[in-house]
Amino acid sequence: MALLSREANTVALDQKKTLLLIGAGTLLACGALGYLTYSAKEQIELCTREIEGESKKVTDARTKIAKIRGLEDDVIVLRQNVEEYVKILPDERMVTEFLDSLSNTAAETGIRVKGYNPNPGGAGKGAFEPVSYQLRVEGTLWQLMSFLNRVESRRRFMIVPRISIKPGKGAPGGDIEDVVHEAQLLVQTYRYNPRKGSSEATRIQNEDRRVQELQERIALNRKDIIPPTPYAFTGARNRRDPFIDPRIPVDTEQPFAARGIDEQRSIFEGIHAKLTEVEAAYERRLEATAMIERLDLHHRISSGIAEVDKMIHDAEAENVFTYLPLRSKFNREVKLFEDLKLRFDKLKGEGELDFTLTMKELKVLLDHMQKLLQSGDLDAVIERNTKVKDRLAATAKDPKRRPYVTEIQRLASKAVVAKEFRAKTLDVSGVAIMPTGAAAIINGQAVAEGELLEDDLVVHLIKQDSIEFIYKNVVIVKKR
Amino acid sequence: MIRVNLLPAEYRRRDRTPLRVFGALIAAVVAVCACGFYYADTFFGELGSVEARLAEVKSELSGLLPQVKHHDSLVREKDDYSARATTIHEISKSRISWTKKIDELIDITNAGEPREETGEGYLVWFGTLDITQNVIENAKKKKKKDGAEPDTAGNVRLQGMCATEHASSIVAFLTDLKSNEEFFRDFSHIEDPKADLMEQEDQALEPAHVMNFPIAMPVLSRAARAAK
Repeated sequence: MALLSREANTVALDQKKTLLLIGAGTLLACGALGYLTYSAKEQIELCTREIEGESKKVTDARTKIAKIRGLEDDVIVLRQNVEEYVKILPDERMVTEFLDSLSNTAAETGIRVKGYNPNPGGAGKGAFEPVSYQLRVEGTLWQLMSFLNRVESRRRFMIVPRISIKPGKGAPGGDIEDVVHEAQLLVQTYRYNPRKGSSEATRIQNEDRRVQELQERIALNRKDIIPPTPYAFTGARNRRDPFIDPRIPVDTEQPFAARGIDEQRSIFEGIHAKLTEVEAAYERRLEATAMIERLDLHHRISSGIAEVDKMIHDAEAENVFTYLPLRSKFNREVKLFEDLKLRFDKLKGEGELDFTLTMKELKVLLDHMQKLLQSGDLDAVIERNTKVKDRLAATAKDPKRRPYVTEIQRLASKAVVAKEFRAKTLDVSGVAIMPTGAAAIINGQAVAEGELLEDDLVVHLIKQDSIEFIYKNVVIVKKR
Repeated sequence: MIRVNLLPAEYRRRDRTPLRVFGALIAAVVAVCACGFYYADTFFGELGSVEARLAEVKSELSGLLPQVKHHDSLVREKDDYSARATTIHEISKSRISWTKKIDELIDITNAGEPREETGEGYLVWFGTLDITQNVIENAKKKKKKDGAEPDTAGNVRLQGMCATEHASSIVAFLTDLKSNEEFFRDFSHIEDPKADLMEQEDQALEPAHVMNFPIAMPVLSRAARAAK
């Protein structure tokens, strides 16, 4: 019995062990498989995340690819426009000859280049490198500005971002308008280096054809960088150089001292007043309709112009205006005077169609002068002729009216001769009429008909109550 | 009752696996097989398909890479050329005709000369002139503290002199400068003026009295000029 129970116990123990073994084995196996499954799940998770990431990249890539066509168009437009824009910059040859061109411009404008240094300007921006020169120059203000204008007006871009002017001093007694100033200028341009700061250009298929297709868009996108219309510097224009001290020395004993400001001003006012008067007469002349008034104004304008001309000539000869503000004003007055002279000359020559005398006017004038001459009013004849002298000269160009002009001029000459004759002393103290001829005693001298009394004076005909003389081919009757 | 098995051991019928053990064994096998199947399904099925999908996606991406590279290159070139276009635009717009400015200054100075009939006007002349204009590269270095573009890009300095002992003449001149729109449009303001009556070095000059007044006018930046 004990043996059986021991055996039964042994068997039961064995079963337990077996069960335990089975259980442990199962657990181990399941555990291992479970772990492997977990690892596989983790890997799946990782792969899934990676798929998501890669899918997103694919989506982004597709989005980018969809934009390629538009980007290529943009790049083509930009390339074409930038290529056009950079034409405002000097090309390589011009950059190389930069200094030569500046020197030539300096020579043309009359300034003197005292020195130049290449200026190592700061780093450029991307593909644009600055090229600069520092110049030291000297010249009058107008020369400096002319040089500056030429540099700034170049078709290819050039600027002067630094200017420094130091006024000079005029030489004593020298012309104040020749004062030379010193200047320092920094002249700068840019060199375009397309390869600098960029990678190789992206290759675009059928680029040439697409450039043609995009012409309209290229034109629409092109910005306005056309250089502005260059400024036209027109010189001094009779203005005072504001870099010259305009004050003048007061001490007149100094050799280079000038008249005082008040005196200069007084002379200037005189010229200005006279010119204003002539200008006013000219304006009235344009509006005048009556012939006599027009003739009178014409005469006044002519004499006024002659007077102003003399005043200006004297002022220039004596270098009256040393005070710069008045000098400038005087120069402007001279310009106004020259303009007035031109207008008046044009008026005389071609401007107004009725400057010449009409046929009717000539006949009226001729009749008037004949009557005056017959009445003995020689001064009136001479004065009348003087007033219309210029118009007669213009009228004489017309063959139809020329005979009248000639006659009027002949009457005027006669009046002049008669006036000279009148001034002579011819005392007729006796006359004798004989069958053989007549004789007279003139200035105590016995003269017969046809005899020469003086140079150009011949006794032509002797009558009882009058004597006819021929003086300078004019027959003059002198009553006793 | 007592059972005695008299057969020799080798002839005895083997004992059957106990039911518990057998059941446990079956259960174990089922469990292990189930785990095995699940693992196999996971590893070969799910993981396999996911990996295949991943390979597919990677392959697709690598196929698109050259075009993406082309796109990135175009973007870089577009940015580069846009910057060049902006730069050349800035360069061209940075131009100020200083000949015109100085010419206008001369006009203003001459136009203000004293008039006898009214007693108004001023006689002004200059000692020195200094013009400084900052073009693009310098302007960028001088950004304002808040990062915005500076409003000014340079300066014009004049040493002015006026034949007067009254500041009113100088004020009249500065007013004429500011009120000339064409001249003043490229400047922001005239810095606070000051004037000093100069000691007469040479009594023999007329007009006798002279006041010295420096002028400083900051030049507007390109953007500020465009906005004005």
